[in-house]
Amino acid sequence: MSDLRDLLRQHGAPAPNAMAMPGETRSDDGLFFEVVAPPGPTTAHTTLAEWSCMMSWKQIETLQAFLKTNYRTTGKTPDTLFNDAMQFLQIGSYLGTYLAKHTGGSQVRMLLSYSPGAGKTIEQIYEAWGNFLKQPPAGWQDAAAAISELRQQWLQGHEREQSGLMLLSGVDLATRLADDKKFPFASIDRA
Amino acid sequence: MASISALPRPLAWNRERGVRLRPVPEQAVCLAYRPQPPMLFGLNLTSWLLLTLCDGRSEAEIGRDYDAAVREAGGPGSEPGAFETALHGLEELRLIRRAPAADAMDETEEGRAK
Repeated sequence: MSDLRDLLRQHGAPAPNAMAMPGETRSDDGLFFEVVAPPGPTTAHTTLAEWSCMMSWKQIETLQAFLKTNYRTTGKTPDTLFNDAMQFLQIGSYLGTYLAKHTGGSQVRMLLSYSPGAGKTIEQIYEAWGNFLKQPPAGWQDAAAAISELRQQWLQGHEREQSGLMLLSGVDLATRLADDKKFPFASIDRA
Repeated sequence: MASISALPRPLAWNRERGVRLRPVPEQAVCLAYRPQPPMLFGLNLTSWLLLTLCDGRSEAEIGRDYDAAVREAGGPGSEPGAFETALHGLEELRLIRRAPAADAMDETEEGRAK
């Protein structure tokens, strides 16, 4: 309590506020997010997807130079092109590429915010992404190439992870945990 | 002459069962996990303060302790009505629940013994 009082003295007493936070569900199977219900008119089930990896300082310098330079003749940076592509596909937006300092190394995180349109399933999102990257529509070749290069840089990192950060209230946990395809240890854990 | 048992029992507040707190002082917030239904909340300093005070104390005691802490700190949390709004807000989020003072104290002691 005394620590809390110290903090109050230091920061003052703000207007009381308690807000719901997203819960985190991590997956190491590459299926890094899922859409579990059609979003309502004002309650899109946004899911943050994260690609993260550890990089050497040299790799980070290379990555930063890539991110700060307008890609080819587009006049836009790779992050902007990534964001434009997601918005074009109507599946969300790209939040950006971030650096997280850790003891013993530096972690790079690429954060995607998936806010698909109503009724769009995970399969449809994957298919849209796949088609876009394999056969970009006219005028989107450079954006697809920039995303591919960013992904290549991530692939060259160490300790790569893909994970999803989804609203706990939006996750159908009971169904997920009862589905052997999504949670193979259900029969043991729930016995 | 009315017997003591006929007097209205003071209202007390307790944390909901299973609510867990994880202070993050470097960011001046506290994370609160509510298991039923499961949800994670971020509480700022004044809501955090209030939640820690809901340990079976009576509402009057909580109000007194809250006022003492925020008056010293100053800011919007010390303005009139902030306490009631915050208490109501935490109850709506099902982080706290009301209980007769005596029961609340019994339960708190039981919880501490576990």
